Amino acid sequence: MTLDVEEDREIQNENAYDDLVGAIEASEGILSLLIAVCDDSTLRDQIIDRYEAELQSQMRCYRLPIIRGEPSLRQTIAQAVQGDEYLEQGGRAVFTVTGAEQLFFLKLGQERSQQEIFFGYLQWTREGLREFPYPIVLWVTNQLLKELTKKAPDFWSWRKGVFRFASRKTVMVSNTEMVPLRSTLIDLDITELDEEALLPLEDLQALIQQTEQQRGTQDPLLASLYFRMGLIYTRRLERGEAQDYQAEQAAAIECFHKAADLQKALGLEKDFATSLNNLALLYESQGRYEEAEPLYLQVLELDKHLLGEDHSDVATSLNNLALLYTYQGRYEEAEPLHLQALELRKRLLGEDHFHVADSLNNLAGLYESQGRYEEAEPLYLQALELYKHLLGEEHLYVATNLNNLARLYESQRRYSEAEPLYLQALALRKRLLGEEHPDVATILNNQATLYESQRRYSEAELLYLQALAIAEQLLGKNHPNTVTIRKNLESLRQAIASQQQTSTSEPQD
Amino acid sequence: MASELLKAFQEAYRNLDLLPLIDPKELEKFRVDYGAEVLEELQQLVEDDDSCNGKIIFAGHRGCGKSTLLAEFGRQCSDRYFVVFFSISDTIEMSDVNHINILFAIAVNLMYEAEKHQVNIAKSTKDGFYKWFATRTQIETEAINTEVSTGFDLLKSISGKLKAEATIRREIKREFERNISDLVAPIEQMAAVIQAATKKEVLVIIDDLDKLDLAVVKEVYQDHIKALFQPNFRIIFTTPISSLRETSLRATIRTEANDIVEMPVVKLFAKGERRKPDPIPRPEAEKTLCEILRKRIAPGLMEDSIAEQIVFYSGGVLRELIRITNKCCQICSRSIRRQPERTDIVINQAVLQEAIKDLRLDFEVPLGKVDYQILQTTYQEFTPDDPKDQKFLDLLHGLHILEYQNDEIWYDAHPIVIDLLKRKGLIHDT
Repeated sequence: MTLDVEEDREIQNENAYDDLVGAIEASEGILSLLIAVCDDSTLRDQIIDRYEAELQSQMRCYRLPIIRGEPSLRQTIAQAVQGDEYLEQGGRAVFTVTGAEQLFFLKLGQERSQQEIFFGYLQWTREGLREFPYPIVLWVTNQLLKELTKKAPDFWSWRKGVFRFASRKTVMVSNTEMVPLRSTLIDLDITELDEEALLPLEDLQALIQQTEQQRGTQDPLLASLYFRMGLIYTRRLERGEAQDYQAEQAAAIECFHKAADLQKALGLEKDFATSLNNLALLYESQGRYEEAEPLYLQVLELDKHLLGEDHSDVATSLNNLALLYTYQGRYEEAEPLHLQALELRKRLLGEDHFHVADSLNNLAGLYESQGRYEEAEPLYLQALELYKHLLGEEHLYVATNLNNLARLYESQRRYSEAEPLYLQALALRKRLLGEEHPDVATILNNQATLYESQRRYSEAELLYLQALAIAEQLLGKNHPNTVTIRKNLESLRQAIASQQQTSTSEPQD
Repeated sequence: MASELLKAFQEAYRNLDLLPLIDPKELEKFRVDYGAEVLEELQQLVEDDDSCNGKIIFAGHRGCGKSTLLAEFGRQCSDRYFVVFFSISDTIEMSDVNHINILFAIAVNLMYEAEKHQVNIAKSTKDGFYKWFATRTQIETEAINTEVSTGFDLLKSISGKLKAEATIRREIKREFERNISDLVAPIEQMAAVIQAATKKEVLVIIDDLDKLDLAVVKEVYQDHIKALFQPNFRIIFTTPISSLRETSLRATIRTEANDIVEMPVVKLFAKGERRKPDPIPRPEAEKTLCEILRKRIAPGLMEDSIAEQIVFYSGGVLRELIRITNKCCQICSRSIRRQPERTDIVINQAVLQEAIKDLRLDFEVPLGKVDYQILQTTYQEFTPDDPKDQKFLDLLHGLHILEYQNDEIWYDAHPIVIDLLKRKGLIHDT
């Protein structure tokens, strides 16, 4: 296999830079569609600054962001040209168009997503752009480039050049103070919850009470009643329907405990394992990792014993345990478990299954925690495609995946790509869970850390405050997530204070 | 100061523009005779059409020179016919094209062309037409009455509205959907008036319909072909080549249209020749393509035999021919910028290889596992397993696969894609 020898990044970027400047300079009096590709928005801005400085003696440089409300390249340029005296008199110019990577790719209740609208317009802009005899530099990311070639093939075929700028190799982000949060979503397989078969919570409570009074607390029937009630509480937590989040969390735990005790006594081993698993998930969502671990280990042993090694439930147990280890930072232990789970799921369920997507997503999360960003990204993207394909856009898993991907981009300093992902994830979760849900707080927190990295302090502070209010109210003041958000807010305020101090005590010249 | 050499490369860069040659000045400068058989075929069809209302479907690969050729054809015909050549995208917002607004666009462009040539039409007749347009597009009629000589302005503002205002397009669609004759009647009247005044028969050529999404193409041609073909004068419609690979669509078009003209990619090699160690191109094809380059890039900027190699890598697609050469100019300009004292910089083997490498990346961007399998099979068998597979059609659409024809249709991977497949170890030299 002969592959191109990878050129040194610097040389490649310098060549791309010179070619781009050369193409801009040569495009006097003609329309030239130049596509510049860069994932790192900081690097991108540096490049733009550089060529604008170099070219400004020959031509006027216009920098135009794509407008989210009307994401049309033609429109963006037409607005700038209209009424511009210099241009009307035939002045030379170069247009730099940025912000395409920030367009939403989810529809969010609209007929078409912003990105689809953008590509739709783009496909037909060649003819419309003819009236602008200027070089136009459209900045995209590698991912967007791929979409562009597929969704705006005609525009693509009119390109005068593609200029690729490789991102710097990223270093691990060392800001341990700003910890992005994991989702508190409890990953129960609620598909087994049959809506019609469920009694309303009140009726079920009454029934349990009645049974306990009439037949005692050890009645076999109670095992399934407790279990059901545990599921209902969990589902309410997941869907943002809980009246009092912590109280219902505790209630769910109590239910599964009682169910587990009975199931064990009755010799219902498989049901017993399921209850333990649900208990472990709940402990995990409360941040009680040490209590969750022995339960998961027990579930895994039971599953293997009852179902054999080759069973999708075994894969689920492996997956859950691996996730716990990831949360605890026990990465070396987590990886082989994730890989085994993925392999089992692919083999038993087929490649096109949402459990496969779960595994891809979780494995990506692990790699991300280890700073193995390049390995993580394709896995997240595969998972996202699978979720969208199997569950549709409007799904919590899609939101979780977007959040994860955003966090990854943030770690890679691909800030401008991260932001729209957070915004879309937030919009989805608000639509599906309501404004007040711990997972909404998670995204607000994560988005705030992004803004903090971009030194957008006042926006960050506002988001931390919102996130903290929700977390304190729903999770309690001492939940690990709440504590993290509070710490993040404090460190932000310190950063602001020290910045103000520097700027007042040492005026910059 | 830019050196003379840099200026020469910059001029070549500007000349190596990808847009079709429609402007007469450009045509004059860069025109090369090509596609003579296709031109003749079109000529024949138009002239032999005694009914005077023949409908011709014109298809070809993206970037193989359709628009330039159609513009050329229009010019050739203009002494005998009243030619109305327009791009659908100049009149209608492309994302919202349907059979009704294509017909409406024909009306607008008929009158536009009449104004341009100052066709002598009675004022009352003209007023009548413009009033009809104005009402349909909700333009204040008073504005027209005050100044009738503003026919151009009116037509321009109609075009503007059709492009920008979805409500107007919806309104027009709603009005004429159920009774298409209400729309066709005025169009035919306009054509009749023009024919009477100019003593020439009307020939409408609609370009860029081939840029539509396949789904839209299907709707327009499959479901509404009768309406679309209703006007009783000659019309040439464009369509993407992939649409003709859809069996049912092709059948519909076959039945309704007088003829289908397919513009093939310039066939540089006979089938199988490219697989030989030292393939010999068909001399006349190579000559035409080299000629195109010579018109656009000064002699001396390119080493001997490089033009032939660029032609080889283009796969016979004109736009790719231009693109490769353009990239070569960019690379040379870079060298001159870095070493301004050098005067010996030309497009040589190393420059060409760097350009090809760059374009290989462009081809590589959208490809996935399944695509590679299709490419592999097509390379080996000169045909895919399933020519109706959407993935295959997409590759055809994206020029990864090219279609050639003589007595039979055969396919091959684009030469740069073949290069890519070899590098990935998916195919081997025979």
